Amino acid sequence: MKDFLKNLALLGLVVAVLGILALVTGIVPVKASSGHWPITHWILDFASDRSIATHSVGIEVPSLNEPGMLTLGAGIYQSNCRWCHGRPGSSQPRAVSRMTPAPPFLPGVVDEWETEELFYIIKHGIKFTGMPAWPSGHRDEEIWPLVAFLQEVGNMNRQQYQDLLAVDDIADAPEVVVDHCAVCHAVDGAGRGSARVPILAGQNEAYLRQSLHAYATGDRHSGVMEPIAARLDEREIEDTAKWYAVQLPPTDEKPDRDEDEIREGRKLLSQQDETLKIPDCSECHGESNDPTYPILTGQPAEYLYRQLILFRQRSRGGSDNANLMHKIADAINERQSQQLASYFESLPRDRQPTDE
Amino acid sequence: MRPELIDDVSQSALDPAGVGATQIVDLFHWMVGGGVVIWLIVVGLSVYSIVVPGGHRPRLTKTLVIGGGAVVPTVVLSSLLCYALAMLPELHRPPPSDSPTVKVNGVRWWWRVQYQTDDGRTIETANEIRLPVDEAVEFKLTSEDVIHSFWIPSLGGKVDMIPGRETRLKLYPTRVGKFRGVCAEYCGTAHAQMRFDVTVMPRPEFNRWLSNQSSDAREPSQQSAIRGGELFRRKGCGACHTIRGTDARGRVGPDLTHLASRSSLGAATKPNNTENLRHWITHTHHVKPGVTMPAFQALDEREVDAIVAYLEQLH
Repeated sequence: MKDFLKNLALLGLVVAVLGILALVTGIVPVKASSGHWPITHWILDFASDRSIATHSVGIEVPSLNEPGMLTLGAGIYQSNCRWCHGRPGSSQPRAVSRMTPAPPFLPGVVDEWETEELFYIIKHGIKFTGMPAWPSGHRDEEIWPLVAFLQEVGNMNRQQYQDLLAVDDIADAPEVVVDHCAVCHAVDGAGRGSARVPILAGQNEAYLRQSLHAYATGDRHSGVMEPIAARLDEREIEDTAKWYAVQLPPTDEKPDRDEDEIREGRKLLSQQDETLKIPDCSECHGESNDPTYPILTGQPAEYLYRQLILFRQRSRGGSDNANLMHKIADAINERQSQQLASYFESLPRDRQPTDE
Repeated sequence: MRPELIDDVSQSALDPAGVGATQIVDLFHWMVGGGVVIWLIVVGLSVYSIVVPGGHRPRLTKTLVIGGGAVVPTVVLSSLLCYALAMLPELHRPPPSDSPTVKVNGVRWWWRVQYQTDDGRTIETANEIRLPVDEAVEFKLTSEDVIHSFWIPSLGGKVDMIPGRETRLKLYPTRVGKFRGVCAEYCGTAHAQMRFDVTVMPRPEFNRWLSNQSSDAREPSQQSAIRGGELFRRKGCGACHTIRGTDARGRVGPDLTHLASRSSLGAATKPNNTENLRHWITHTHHVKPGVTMPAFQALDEREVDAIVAYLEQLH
């Protein structure tokens, strides 16, 4: 028995020395070109699948059936994911097929994952693969349009995908707007049917510029906007802000206005200082206020509501002005935020935009 | 930057400058005197009983114990009680009907102050109370959020300010001077910085001050002040602050119509001067942690200069 233990210890020592030797001499190749052994591949895949399945339990899937979700998702996919995961109607991109592990060609295999799993993977990324986590830890709700898109991408052909990405052709629009912004915000800044993104047309130029800077430096949080803004140079940011500031905001009324909400929102504002102790929103967000403040009238209620919630969670960030909103957002609850947002959505924009 | 303490004015109940405070000090002194008498007798007898050796005569013992332990304290305390109760009717008597009335609302963490003018208008100011000397003044007190307590130690007792209720206090200042008022009921983060300036002044001076306060804000004449006024509007300051005679009509924060005539900033947190005003606007939370006003950190130097120039001509 004693000999056995002695031998075991000796064996352990030899293995350890060999291991250290292998480590120090660098004899084991880390090259991607040879791929994994099949057994390694299987174990890693199995472990990863199990981990994702376990950790995605309990994620609540919201309704993904809202207007404009697919467009947003396609925009995000086109801007970030297609480089590795390929586009519908094509095959796996050549360069990434030589990664170890190679990223899956998603249009072919995406149906293997549950909705919650897709969300979990996009939010957290996967260790030891090339899959990064969502660029912002503060904005989980931004992930759902991409999930909605991924649920459909398996049945999509090249044309359908292109249709989602197709933007209007306006002759004098800067290239940067067409390439980077238009899929979600439209070339004319009127948005493309999703209430999650703001209407940029007629927004204050200084505010647009400062917002892009804040996204680029990570001071304003968004997994969608941060990577895009960080890619733009100073000139492109200027061009984008200038372009959208002079576009005419859309005037068409929202079809499904909730008159009760709007009335409640108006009431809230008119009696604000006595009960809520918050200032009147339009004292800062009117059309003649400081150009570094955003104009809110006519913005989608969902977008405005989300900003109020993010301010309250201190997850929005923004320019140096962002702190002005914190105490205000603290003072109103979710219900009241919704009412105020609906009210501002219902207000008409009357100004012809001028470049300030 | 180290917070600079405000130049100190009297904040002591033992330095009375009003009828109420004088009575309270008198009462305090009599109570101390009465307490000393009782203490001396009780402790003196205890010491006597221990130190003097041998037996004591029962008759003397009885007299001393009953006299010193029961009779004297009862007489002293009853007299003090009668004396104190006799003060109440006068302190509680409402002031003459033509006395000036000041309405004060406690707000976290400042004071909304309203005067009535002779022509029935309400004049609002903040964090500063001025009173004519040798006249009774009635305060109507309430709170807009939590319970505060209104106390000017040199002028009189304190009274709670209760949301949804109006409490009253009569003060009768008898000495010209500057005094400190404080919130005497813990009301949150900046409670210790919820103070106000009290100035007691001769009647003619008081009238001049009130008539100046009742005027609208003066129009800026200098270039930078004009620019400051425009910035004040554009940056949305008027969403919270009123400056009478302009579009600024906010009621969330203090009225600034005559800000430059006040001696302090931030509810008597700091003296009112250029440097402090600049610092207040851009680093509000360093000066007064917890304050509702957000710091306007995005303003550049020139913008701050202009806004300060505008505010400093609001005499």
